[in-house]
Amino acid sequence: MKKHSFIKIISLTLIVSLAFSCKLQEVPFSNILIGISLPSDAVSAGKDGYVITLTNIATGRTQIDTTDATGQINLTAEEGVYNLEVTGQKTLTTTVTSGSTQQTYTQQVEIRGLLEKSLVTGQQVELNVELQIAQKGNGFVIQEVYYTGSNTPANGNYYQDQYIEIYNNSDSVLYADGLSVAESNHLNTSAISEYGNYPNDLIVGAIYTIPGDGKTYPVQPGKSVVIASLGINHKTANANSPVDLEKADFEWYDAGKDVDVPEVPNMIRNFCYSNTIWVLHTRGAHAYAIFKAPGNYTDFITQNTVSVLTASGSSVPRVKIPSSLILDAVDLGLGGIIGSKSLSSAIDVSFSYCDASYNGKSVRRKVLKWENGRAILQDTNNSAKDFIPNATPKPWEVE
Amino acid sequence: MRVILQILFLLISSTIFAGNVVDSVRIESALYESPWRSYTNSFEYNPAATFSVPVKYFSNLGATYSSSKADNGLHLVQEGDGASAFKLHSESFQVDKKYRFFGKAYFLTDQKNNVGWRDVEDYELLSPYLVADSIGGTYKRESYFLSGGATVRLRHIEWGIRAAYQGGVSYRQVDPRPRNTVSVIHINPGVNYSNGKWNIGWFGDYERYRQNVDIQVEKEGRKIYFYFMQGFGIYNRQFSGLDDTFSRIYKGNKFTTGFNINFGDKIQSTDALISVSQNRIDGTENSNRTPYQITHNQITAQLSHEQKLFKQTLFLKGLYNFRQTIGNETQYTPVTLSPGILEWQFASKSDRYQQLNHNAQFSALLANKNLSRFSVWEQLSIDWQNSKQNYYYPYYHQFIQNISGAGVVGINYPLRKCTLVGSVKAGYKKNLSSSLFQAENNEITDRLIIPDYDFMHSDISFYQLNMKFRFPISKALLGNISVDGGLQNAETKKAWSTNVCFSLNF
Repeated sequence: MKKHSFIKIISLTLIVSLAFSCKLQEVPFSNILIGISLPSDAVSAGKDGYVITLTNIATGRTQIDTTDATGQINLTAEEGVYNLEVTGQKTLTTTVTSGSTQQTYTQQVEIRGLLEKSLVTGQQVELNVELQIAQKGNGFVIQEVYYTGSNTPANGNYYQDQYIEIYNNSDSVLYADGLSVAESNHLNTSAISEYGNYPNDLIVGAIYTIPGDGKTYPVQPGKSVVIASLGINHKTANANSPVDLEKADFEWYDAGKDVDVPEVPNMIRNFCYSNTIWVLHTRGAHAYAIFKAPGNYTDFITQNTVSVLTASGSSVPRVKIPSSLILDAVDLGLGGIIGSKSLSSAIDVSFSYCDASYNGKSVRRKVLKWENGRAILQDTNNSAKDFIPNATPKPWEVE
Repeated sequence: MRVILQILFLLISSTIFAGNVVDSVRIESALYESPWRSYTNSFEYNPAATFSVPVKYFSNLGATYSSSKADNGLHLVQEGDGASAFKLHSESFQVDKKYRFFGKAYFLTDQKNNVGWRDVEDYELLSPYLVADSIGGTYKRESYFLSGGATVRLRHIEWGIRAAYQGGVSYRQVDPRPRNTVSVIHINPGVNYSNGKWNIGWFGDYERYRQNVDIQVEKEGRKIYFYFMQGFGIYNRQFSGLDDTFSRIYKGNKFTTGFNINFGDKIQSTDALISVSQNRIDGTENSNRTPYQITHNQITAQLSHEQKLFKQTLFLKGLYNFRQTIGNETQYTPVTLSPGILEWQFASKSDRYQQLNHNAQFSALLANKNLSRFSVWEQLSIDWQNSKQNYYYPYYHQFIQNISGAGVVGINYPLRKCTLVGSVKAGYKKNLSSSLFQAENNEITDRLIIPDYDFMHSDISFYQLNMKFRFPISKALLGNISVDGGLQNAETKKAWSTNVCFSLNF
């Protein structure tokens, strides 16, 4: 009797134990219907042949597919948060009628779009990507941004050696007069972009402009202008600094607050969020753009000033730059990571980066090819491909 | 540290009482530490099962120094390739009419060298959801443990309760510097019904686990890439990244229950025990995110029997242990509540990781229970382990099945005033089957997943030598010096370990 009880208790406990083992909560998948919307000036390009890349931001895994004539594709993916990138190489045909004659022009363009951090949950999800024609710079392009600064021998931080280099990527002389450098107001370390209501503009917090009357500062093909924070030989000020900027072409200068090197021409501070001096963010965390405003800058800024809210809830003025005015731009992240981008996909579909602040590294544009001794820099509006991350700063050098 | 030592001292002092003469201390201590103690260990689960403790009194205070070193490939990466530890420990068991009192305490300080791919303590418990950097280094720890309990016998029923607290801090002294604070609280009640030859008991156990992981990079401007690992070399790319600080809190609740049954007389005794437990641990980060939940379900069943045989006693024990570990992952999506104010909102969750471990052990020991005479004991044991890990989407798996066998020969050699105890062990672990499928082409795969897999499925021979010398110090005080040496060998790789312990029994 007692032995039977013993066996019963053991058996009962084993049964309870086996039932105790849990059933797994399965990985949920969603069917995603992805569609594209073409810009009005590229409807004729058709919706077929666009490469769609769906990237899960947590796993980094991607799915790639190509649209057919309907411009739609179906993908199945695990639930999560996704970035959706669309790119297509197209030929646009424009017919111009003048009197009785018709002329047809063809143009090779890249059409692209990016949908960031889209939530994919549930059985069926529809995502639509608004496409834009990518603007490629065959004029001025950003060749290098050295923003990290350097470490001093005493293990201090040195940011005064920052610079931005702008390169004439065309085959003709261009003039730097009126060319501006702008910094996005959005912090790329933020998980999401707060300026979704400005899809065709870049909201900036700083605009510094090269002076001149239009023909003052010519830049030869294959040559560049270096815009320094401070135009001195930084190697003497900080033995660890990688650059000598004594021969910088321009300085951004904040009158009354900044150190001025008289030998180096100053840029015009047209707009800046900072009440003191402007310093490039040493971890990147912004996008940098070059553009030329139509007409004078005072009017441009007045017409394009918008109010944005800060984290504390107060309203501050910033300037919106229409994407159509931007000649070139680069989005920056940190260590291969970006929280969210400042730039629209038409300007830069990805980003470049350095691994740390004060590590003496820059982001530097690659050379696409050499023609008659002139370097043509790569500009596909895709910084991840166009730029070398963690590069060694080399102002005025092309390699 | 001083507080801990004071507590330790108080606990030890409370267990000391005079009156035990050294001969009986010697016998009681030898019984308490005998090789067959592990064959009937219901008391470890059920504080009321004091029938399984073979002595009426036992008090021990000791200090142990241990060190180990392993060649590359003969250790787990997260365990490090060498260690040294100093432990101050005490244990006591006392019977007083219908009451029994018992307690344990230790203070441990140790160091593990070349630990890689974890910035947390208790990595086995929290795997695969660890935070790690690619640098690693020397990991130090200070830990203390206090446990105490009592039982009362009322007619046929013995009621018991045991409470334990473990606290500790582990840290690295170079960047990145994790400082992990662990606290564990146990409440372990039990009851045992005894009726002549029968003992039937129930026990429960509640464990509250907490680990605060705080990592700092002290060098100004320097950032370290923190990997939020998910197993198989997968890491969360949404939240992993360069930073100079990181925090995570692991909180766990473990519930255990089970039964023990014993039937015995003067000639034989049979014990059975079954225990089931569930341990659920949440990994919580800032912004109220709990991206990982780990659940351990465990069943342990053991059956042991002892029988008189050839003027000696044969001990047999079979043990089966099943452990299921489930890893649940939650994905979050960022939502802006107002400019600059971001909230991570729930997006999706599912079970992504599962580990199923089966372990069966069998051992047989032939020994003379009369420890006042010279005797030789022999033990044979077999250990079979079957471990399968899966990750669901992408579908990765790892499977390892090992079997090991070992033989031990030991002696108990009482001299006129002292006793020499020793044993020699030799064994071999053989891999029966193994496979690994994963396609994460990254540093974690190269430096953690593959080396660990290679180690776990390698064939290893192992040897252990133990010598212990018991000698009287005073009328009621027995001294013990023991030395242990271990060697593992796999092809040309070797790992060794040593222990030196001095302790007092009273």
